[in-house]
Amino acid sequence: MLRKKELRIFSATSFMGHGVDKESLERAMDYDLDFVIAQGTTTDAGPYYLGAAKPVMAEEALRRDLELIITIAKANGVPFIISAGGCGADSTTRLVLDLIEDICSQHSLSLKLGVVWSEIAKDYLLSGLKQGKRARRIVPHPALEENLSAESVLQAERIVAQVGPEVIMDLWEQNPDLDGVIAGRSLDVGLYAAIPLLHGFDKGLAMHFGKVMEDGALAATPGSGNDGLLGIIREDHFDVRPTNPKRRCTPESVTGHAFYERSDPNREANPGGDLDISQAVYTQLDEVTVRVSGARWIEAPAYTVKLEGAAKTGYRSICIAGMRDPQVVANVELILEESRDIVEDYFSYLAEDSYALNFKVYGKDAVLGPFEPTPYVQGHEICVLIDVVAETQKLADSVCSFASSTISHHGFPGRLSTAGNIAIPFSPGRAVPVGEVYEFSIWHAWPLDDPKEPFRTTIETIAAKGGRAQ
Amino acid sequence: MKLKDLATVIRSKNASPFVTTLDVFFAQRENYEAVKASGVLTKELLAELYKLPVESVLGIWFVDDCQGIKMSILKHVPSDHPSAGDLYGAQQNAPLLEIEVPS
Repeated sequence: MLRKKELRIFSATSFMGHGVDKESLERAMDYDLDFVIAQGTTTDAGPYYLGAAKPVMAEEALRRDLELIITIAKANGVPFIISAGGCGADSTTRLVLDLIEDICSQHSLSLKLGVVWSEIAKDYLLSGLKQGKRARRIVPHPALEENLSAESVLQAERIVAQVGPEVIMDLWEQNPDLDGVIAGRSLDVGLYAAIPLLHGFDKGLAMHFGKVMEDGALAATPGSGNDGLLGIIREDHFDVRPTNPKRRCTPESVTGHAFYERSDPNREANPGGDLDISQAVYTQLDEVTVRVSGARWIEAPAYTVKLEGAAKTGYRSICIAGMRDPQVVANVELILEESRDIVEDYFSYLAEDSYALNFKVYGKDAVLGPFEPTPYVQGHEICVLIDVVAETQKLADSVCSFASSTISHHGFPGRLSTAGNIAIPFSPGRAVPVGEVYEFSIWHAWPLDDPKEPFRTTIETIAAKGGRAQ
Repeated sequence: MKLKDLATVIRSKNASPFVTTLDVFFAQRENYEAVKASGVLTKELLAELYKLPVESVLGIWFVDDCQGIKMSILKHVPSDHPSAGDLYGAQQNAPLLEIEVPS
């Protein structure tokens, strides 16, 4: 095992594609860095990206962040660990490698990369289930089945698992001459904890380090999603500070960050155990630096990785319909209710679940739905979003278009605007095809004896003249 | 006083597509302490405001270090459901604003 007493790591951004501050990254290089790390996979943007195997961030933004990190890190001889591509589908990891290849030929760089692929073969899961493996849902929501079934595996369009720190530790231990690691869908905290764990740091400390570091300067004040954070981890504590003189870390900024997008601020389930930060201590060390200690790791009885799977639920078509006439606005509920009846009657020859029709009334309760505290119209203008999800794009467009024309021409007592009840802002307008719709059907914890088992790793060498080899 | 008059941040966000997490932060220590001591933030109140069974309120945490309160609730439907209207859960905070904090 490697045994450094101190590791200096720079977290380059909150997310690959959100932006890297070049000067902050360059300034970080003055600190004799051991690693530059950045995360760029997520489920925040919904299941579409995993279902369709598409990157979450715009390609150009992703390329720019890769270019800054890789060229500056390589020029300074600092290795990097990056998860990128968004959803973790293997095609997005390939896209990231293509972008890196392009960057390498532009800057005449050659690289040796370890690559972790996070897409999981259905056969692997099916045979595990057959052998009696039980994967429980991670959130107790009734939309998720309690235990993962073979049917859900088969129905999923694509399944990924979150790469844990052990995979990266092993890759690095076996290949200490790598310039960097590129990973698909990863446990964010694990990317930052992997190297400290490889050097034998306490697991609670290393995972807490990852938790504070994972979003870069979001743990500083003023916070930023496109700036970095420097972390120095030692035997029983770690220090964090921004390298941008416009920012500082304070105990409030660091603890406040632990709130972000997490359900429990004190304790968090991770592969193989829980991170308990309820007893953590945060001290202001100097103007800009906070020292952190006191997190505990509570070992779980079994090691699990998180599976994420998206299943196709249909195709979407929408119509944006504005309402301004006071009589139309006043009668919106009646118009929509009666129009729905007409639509359902017209398409009654179809199987019941072949489409879903939803109306969202902006200006009334579209955002909060059933718990809107003021579920009535107060303004002079509202917007109805007609939203149809159906088995085929053609059917979705047909239902949406029919619903739109029905609403537009529906009569009601006191109607003045007899030529049409809605304002459609553009063409195509009655039915705008949006494409495939997916849902997260798998959100389950998969038990493993070996944390590395489901993940394929490769070593890729990229030549300065272009081209890459495995 | 209402919660919106005492807090400096009242925000919501997804903590997974199945959970909405609600954060409240205070600039003034005494405001944080007042809300904490008032006992007004309960699972029952959240259940009523968000029209959920009490079991769907996953927890309420007061974190003194950052003068913050976190509350997490199960969503009625996951954020990717056709009838859902807030993919990131970033606009689910409104029901908290008018909470009357007894002094």
